[in-house]
Amino acid sequence: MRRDVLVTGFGVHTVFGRGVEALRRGVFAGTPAFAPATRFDTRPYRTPFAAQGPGDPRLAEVLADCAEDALAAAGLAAGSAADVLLGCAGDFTAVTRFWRGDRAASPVDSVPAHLAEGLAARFGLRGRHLAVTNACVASAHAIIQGCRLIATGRADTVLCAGAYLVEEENFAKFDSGRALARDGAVRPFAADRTGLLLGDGVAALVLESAEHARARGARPLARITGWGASSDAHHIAKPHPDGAGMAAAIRQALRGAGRDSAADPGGAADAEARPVDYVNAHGTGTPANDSAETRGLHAAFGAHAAAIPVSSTKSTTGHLLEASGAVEAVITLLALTDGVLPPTAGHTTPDPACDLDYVTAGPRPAPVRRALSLNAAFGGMNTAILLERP
Amino acid sequence: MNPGARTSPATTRPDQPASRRQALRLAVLASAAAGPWGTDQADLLRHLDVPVGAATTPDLPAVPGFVESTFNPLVHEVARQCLTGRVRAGAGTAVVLASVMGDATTTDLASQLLVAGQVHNPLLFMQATANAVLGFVSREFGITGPMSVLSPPDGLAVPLLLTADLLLADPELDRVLLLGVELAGTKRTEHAYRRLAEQGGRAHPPAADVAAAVLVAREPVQPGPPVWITGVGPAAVAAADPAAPPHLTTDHVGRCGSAQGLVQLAAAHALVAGGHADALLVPDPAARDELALIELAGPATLGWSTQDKEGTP
Repeated sequence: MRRDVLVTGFGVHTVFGRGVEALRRGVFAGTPAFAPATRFDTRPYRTPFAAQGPGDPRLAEVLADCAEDALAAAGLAAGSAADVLLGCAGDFTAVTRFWRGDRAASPVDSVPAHLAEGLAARFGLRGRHLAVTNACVASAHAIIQGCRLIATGRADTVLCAGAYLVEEENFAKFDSGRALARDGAVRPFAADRTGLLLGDGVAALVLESAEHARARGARPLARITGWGASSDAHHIAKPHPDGAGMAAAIRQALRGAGRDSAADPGGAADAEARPVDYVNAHGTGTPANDSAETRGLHAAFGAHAAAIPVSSTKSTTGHLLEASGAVEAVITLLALTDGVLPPTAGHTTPDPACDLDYVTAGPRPAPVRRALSLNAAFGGMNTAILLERP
Repeated sequence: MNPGARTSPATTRPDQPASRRQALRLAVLASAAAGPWGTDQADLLRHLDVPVGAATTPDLPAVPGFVESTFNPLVHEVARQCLTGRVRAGAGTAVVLASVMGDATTTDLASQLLVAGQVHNPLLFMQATANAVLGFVSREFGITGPMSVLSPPDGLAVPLLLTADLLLADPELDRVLLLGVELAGTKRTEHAYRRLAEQGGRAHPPAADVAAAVLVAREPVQPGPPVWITGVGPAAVAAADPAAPPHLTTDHVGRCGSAQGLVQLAAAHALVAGGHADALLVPDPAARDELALIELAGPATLGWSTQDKEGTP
């Protein structure tokens, strides 16, 4: 029997600030936060825009803040046996500073596993720790691996996190790849979408087995009932135009939601047939992603697809790269608990190739019992995480 | 033939649980390693007791679209050797790549261009993450299962094996390709390795660019006798049990850094599969003590026979 996986705490940081209220004020109000980046000289680049918070905080410190919030919300004391899985490619400012000859720079911050190790050490978490680095699905993969560890009885508690703060190395790479929206607006699923913009994002979630949470009296915030991960087998950078891999990840998550679950012993077929009430899409605002993702949702949900509200919160937060999965899982969880769907900002011109219900007219109250968070990445990697009310 | 394998007594055996030992049940279908010794298993075995010369990168076929760094050609080469003829297209195969430092050649080249005020090569954007070469591999072999990239703190082998064990608990997966790759230190990563060592870290850079791969499954595939990874456990198993299998260690293939354990696992698999050893213990010198020994067993040790299949772990 597969053990049930609960979320019992989280912490989050975006361009809107630290914590849930900042997220509600920004993401759930549909307020884009793009402005010229100030952490580096943007004049060499095609666009100056990013969703960057004030100052130049150290990634490890923001990550620690979010982990502290998550552990406090879960009521977990220091010294817990939790594993740490961090979706992060390292602090690239440490790379830049090294090559600029900054002797005060600590190059170890550029090593992803060192950040995971530092997090475990800081909070005395005694389990194993590992970084997951596969770009925009990294923290989604961290969450999925955490779910697998708990579901199979290999761990009781896992701190899953994702972290990215806007910096020049990735900004330059995305600029060279002509992937950034030059006019400072991210318009997911709209006909006039021109690209993505980067954003600050860090989140940490405490995943816990239902038995462990119950035994210590922890309050569950949500259940993660299904997860899926797939590859397109199509292209090194572009998504499959039919969203085949994304559809496969969604179907896998829905199948898994019914399989051998202690809390929901219904069959996989029943789980697949049940609709979801909300989809937090990857929705980068790039021409290739959004039409492919739309087709993938059609393929996965068939006739139900048109009735499912979908939004891309990258329209307000920007693209959080390795942190996307963790932050967007938190946003999806809030949609469940608040009964409000975050809107897709900037969606002014419909695209015939993107024909779903994209929650375009501001936040939408809705009873949400079951919601999907989707992510995709370079190399044709796709993830789907299914959250339900506890 | 068992060149370079040093026999030393041990207290842990594949069939004998020890303190903190973690049992595994992974059938090894294939392995490959590429480094200063070359790209063939025969080259690797030849150099288990004959030191390679200068630490050089082997000649590798170019991978279209990937420039400047050997990271991606190395990954592609060892993946190709393991996958060809052994996987079906579809969602049943997962791929997991591990590297402590990742493609530091590309990262540092891009950063130096940035610092110098030069325009980035857009190809560096595409190969900036290991996702890209995994996407290339997935397209070539039609693999639509999950692909993941890990950065462990030290030795690559055990985190990869534990991840494979976890993935194979999923009834939708039946094979996992494990890839480990480390590049020789750049000025930045050498500095980072030194700082990590000062803090007690065990990761260190390889002398030259290296990669290794192991294809594992829940069940062995005929023809050929099965080779199993039966557990991982503490390194401090040196004294008491004269019946324990020998250790396979070698420094002659050159320092392989965090990939050393995986390279040695590939060599050990070749020895056991080739009938040159019944079972081997494979130390990972870069791993933490409690998970620094990998147990590899062939059919003789397990009492396996083609008739009754008894003795599988």
